[in-house]
Amino acid sequence: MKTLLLDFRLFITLVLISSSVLVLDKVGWLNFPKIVVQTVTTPIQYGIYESTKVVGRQFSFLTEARFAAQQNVALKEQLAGLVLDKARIQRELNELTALSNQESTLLPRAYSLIPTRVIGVGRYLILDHGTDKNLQPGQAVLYKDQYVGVVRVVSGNTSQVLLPSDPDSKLSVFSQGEAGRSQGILIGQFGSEMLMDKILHQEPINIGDLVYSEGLEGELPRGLIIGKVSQVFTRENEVFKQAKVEGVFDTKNLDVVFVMEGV
Amino acid sequence: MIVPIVLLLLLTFIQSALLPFDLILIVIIVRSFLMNSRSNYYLAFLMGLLVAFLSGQPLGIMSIVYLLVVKVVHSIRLAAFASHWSVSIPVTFITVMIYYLLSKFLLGISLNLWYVPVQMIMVVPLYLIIGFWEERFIGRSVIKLKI
Repeated sequence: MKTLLLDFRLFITLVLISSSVLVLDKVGWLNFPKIVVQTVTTPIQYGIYESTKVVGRQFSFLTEARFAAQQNVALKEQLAGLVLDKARIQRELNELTALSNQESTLLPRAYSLIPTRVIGVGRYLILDHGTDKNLQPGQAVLYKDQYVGVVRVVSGNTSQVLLPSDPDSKLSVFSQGEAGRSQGILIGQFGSEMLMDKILHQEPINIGDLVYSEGLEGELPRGLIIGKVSQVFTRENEVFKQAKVEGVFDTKNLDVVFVMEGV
Repeated sequence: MIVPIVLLLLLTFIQSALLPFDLILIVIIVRSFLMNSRSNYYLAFLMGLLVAFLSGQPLGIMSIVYLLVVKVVHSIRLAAFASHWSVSIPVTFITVMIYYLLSKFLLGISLNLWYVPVQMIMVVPLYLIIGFWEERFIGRSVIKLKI
């Protein structure tokens, strides 16, 4: 009985200490010590992350050899089609260039981007910058004009990025293909997949269509590539269609990403 | 006590850089199930601070969650039916669900049921490893009988 009482006293003491630490952290009094400690921990995290990537690459050929052979055949077929498309597009481009020379053209979009290094990836992507680079929750994270995620939590020298495949992520998007455009909401599923929901039946969407951000959230500009449609679910008795969307690159292979300062 | 701390430190770094689920939680659950020791509270407190720090969450929040988990496991461990090792699996299930509910309320992180089976599967090897370690390599104070 005495031991149980002592255990309970220890439990309560530690919970109270944890609560005090939590309050101090929320107030911001622990920011400086956190930044100091992060100068040691961030290189270790980065080292582990990079080492695992190197080891993974060494053994990836074992699992990917069969897939690569199948992909090679498919790519050869695609290449033949692309050569024909290229010739057609080149001709059209020449015509359009001639036309656009006579019109005033719009300036390309330019964003102010903060480069950050990826130091971990689990459910969230962990970056090696936080309040030190004035990152804020809600800022978009990009990689080569493609949407990676949105900053979720920021601390001294690190920040967490919510990936679009996370179930907590919801984005208004549109898909664009040869058949036309359709609008919907992109909801993360566990794993690397996303579900584009609330697509009207009359709007065309096909496998291979690219999915772009709609830009209604405020922190995201319109037109960032988010993924590619891999499957379309059409049920006549339901009001909306759905489509499965897969990312265009593997989040686990990113070294550097860019945080957008403002739209 | 030093070896578990060093191993947990290493695991925490690996978890923060690579794993999408909480491995430290499973280690703490299994250790609490194996040993009704006060050191579990200290480990939960320290590892909670480190996990929160490395994953960018507010400091202290994971300590509270881990401490509650240890308390729950110790309470279940007092029951007579909890002496068999297989009880550790449902105990892990219950505590993992409590952990997810606390994460949902305290951090606003949604429940990921896909990782629950993975965490459950990890209980058995971890139970064997930690049990073997604690039994063979950790010294206990000598019990003296008064005659």
